[in-house]
Amino acid sequence: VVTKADASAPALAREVAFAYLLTAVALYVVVRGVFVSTRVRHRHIVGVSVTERDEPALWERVRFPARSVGTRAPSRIYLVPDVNAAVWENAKLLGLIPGRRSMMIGMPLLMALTPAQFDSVIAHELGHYGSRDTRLGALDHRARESVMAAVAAAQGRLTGRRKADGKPRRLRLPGQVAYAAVFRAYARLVLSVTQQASRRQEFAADRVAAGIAGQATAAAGLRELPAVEAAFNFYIDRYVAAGIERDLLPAPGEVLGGFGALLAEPSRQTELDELRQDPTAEAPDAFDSHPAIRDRIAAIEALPPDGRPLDTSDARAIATLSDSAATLCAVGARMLVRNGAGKQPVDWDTLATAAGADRAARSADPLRIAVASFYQQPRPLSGLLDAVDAGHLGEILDRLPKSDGATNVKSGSRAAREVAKTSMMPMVAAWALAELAAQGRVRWRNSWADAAGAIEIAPDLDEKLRAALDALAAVQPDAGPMRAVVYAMGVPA
Amino acid sequence: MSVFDKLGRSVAWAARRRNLQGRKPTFGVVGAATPPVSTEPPPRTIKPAEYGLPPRADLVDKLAEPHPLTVAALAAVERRDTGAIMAVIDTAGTDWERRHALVTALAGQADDDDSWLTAWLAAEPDNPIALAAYAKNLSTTAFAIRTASRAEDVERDQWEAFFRVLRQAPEHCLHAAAVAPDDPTPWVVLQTIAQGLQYDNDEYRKIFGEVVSRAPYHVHAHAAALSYWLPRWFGSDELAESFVNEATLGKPAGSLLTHLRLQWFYFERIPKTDADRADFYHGPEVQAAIDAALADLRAAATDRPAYPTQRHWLAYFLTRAGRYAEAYEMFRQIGSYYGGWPWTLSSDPAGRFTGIRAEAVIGWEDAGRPPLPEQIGSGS
Repeated sequence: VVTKADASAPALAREVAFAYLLTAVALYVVVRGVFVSTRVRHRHIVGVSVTERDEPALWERVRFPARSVGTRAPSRIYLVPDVNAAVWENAKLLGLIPGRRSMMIGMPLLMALTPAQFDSVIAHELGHYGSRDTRLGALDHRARESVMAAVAAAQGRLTGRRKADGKPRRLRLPGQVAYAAVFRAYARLVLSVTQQASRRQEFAADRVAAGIAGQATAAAGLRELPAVEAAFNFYIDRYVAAGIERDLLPAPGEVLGGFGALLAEPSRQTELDELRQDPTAEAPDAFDSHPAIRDRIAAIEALPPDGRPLDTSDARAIATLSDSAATLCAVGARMLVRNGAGKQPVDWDTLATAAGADRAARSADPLRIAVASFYQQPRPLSGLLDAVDAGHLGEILDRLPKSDGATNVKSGSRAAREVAKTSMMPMVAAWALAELAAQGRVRWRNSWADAAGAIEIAPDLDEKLRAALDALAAVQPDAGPMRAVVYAMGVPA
Repeated sequence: MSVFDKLGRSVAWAARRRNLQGRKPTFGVVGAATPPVSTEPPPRTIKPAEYGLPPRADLVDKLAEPHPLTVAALAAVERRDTGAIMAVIDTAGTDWERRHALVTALAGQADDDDSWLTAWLAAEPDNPIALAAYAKNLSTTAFAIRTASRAEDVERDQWEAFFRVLRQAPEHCLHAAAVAPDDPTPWVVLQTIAQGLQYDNDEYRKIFGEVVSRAPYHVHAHAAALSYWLPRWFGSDELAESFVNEATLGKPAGSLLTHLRLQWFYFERIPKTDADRADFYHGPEVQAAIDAALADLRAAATDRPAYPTQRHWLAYFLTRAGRYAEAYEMFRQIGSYYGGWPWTLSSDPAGRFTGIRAEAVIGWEDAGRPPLPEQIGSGS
């Protein structure tokens, strides 16, 4: 700790020198910010570029609103695997010289939105062109990024180590806290100015969208966005990534294709409707350039009524594509270029089986740990069955974590062990299923209604397994039937 | 449906069934009933020894002094001497109430360690006493899992374990009944199991019918049935009242069934406010029930298992009704034992017992120490 007495002349000199240094750094950041290229590079885009010859109908869907807005259509369209649509222009010299216009369109939006809702989203993006947002937008964005970088620099360099509380440790120089505070205040000013401007641009672009697609459809399209985003995140997390621990992935055409199936699943419609009705569920972000969806919807609904009907079509914008299956496959393959290396593409049911077996094994973990603790070494399910035969089940039950119910019952009593047995039985079932899955005797079928899938077990095996669980759960437990079911092919070495 | 779904089903089913009937059983039969009267300690206390009563420290959590046959049976269990156990049972003969009491005592000896009982059952799978005791032990284990808490305070895994254990019991009762067709004991044991497993009214009537066709005045069976017919379980006000009338009216003196009416009053009829309660206890309905129970007790054989039960109920109601001399005399006869209803229905049975006992003695003092009744039943 540096006390006041220590911080004398040499320290002051250090601080002055540091002030010069910091000013130089900030100057560099600003100057570099002016001259740095604001180009978005083709190779940075995770997506597939589609030409007008590939997808004439899609290009016409973009061209038509461009004409209505009175702006130049983009010269490049990328299809990307995100819930996103964006335009940008690689303008030159602070946006004074026009550059190439590009547009990215998220495949999930094409799959989820009706054609008219899709038009509304496109019109919103072109609305940015119409108001000349994009040419200066890149500069605006760059200013925000530079300032954020300067703030980060002022706060001290990350050392890559972490403090005891898990927060990253920063290399701090004396007096840095004060400089950082000044910088933060400046940054807040810059950000709030650019943010206000960028939010104004969004509202203006929404008015363009409402003018082209109709007020009701534009609002409905906005409502759809958080719902699609939540559904797509759920889909990636629970379906695509489910087999990743076993190096399994869906086939390229299914990586995105499955999302269409999930959206079409009848039993998911209520959940989706709830997401649409509650756009407030969106997490607010102070530095987001977009206003909250609910504010944007409110602004559209506050416009004078245009009398145009809500688009209630069952069609989806993806039908615009000339070969949607090939496109889904191409974008899906591009998506997996980085994360899919070394992973094997399999069908959904194989993926569901791998995920189901992992889930079953994991849910049996507390029991596996109790059995390992009893034997002082890891054992398969047969270890539990051996302990039951030898009359040691009680000792394993005593090693299980105490449930709420177990704490209500007199501890150490037979009643308490019976309550513990109730906690144990689902774990025994899961453990048995994991072993049966490893033997290929149990599979899971993929289900778009239930991410856990539907278990596939032969009726006679199911019946025997139930009977074996009952025998094991009896007050006088019998491990014999479970041994016969799971180890019909012998105990693995 | 996967085996994952299976384990929660019984509880969900039970919950549904309760909802359909629009009520939650509070399992009052195992002691969950909220005492309908104030448990505030009386403002004055007594020194029990000055009145020939045992002090609180000497009280015993049993219904009464154990019967000699019970003592012999438990000693036989200690020696793992199943032959001696059966000799005790043979001594009880066709005294079915005594036999039931012995089976209950045997089951209690397996609460902490049931290995002697399972070993006995393995050696003699058709022994009706071992079968009945094992079923009774499963039943008490299940109710210990459930605990006496209110239904909403019982955790899901407790319910599951309760039903899982209890569902294993009926087969042993039916097996025992098949090998000992004259013995009502397995059917009496099945009554409580049936209540826990939510048997419907007709199923329950059948089981009770099996009991009374073999032992028409079996007091424990009637008390268990009254529990079942309470509105909080699977009966109603009307069904409970008609059961009490049927059980108590026109029965021979000394049957000891008369305390069922007191039990019913305690569970269902006690008014909510202090003033209404005093009127109720001093009113003609309760007085008549007490008189009938006293006459019944006087006519009964003192070695009946239900004899102490009748005394406990009378001690409580005599005190509440302000008949302090008779109440005091009843407490003198009860002595150190408080392990029965209504005391065990309280969360603090010993405190409940000594509180009411003090109320009786103080009431007797305040009345100027009137002479104690000569003939109130035989002293123990």
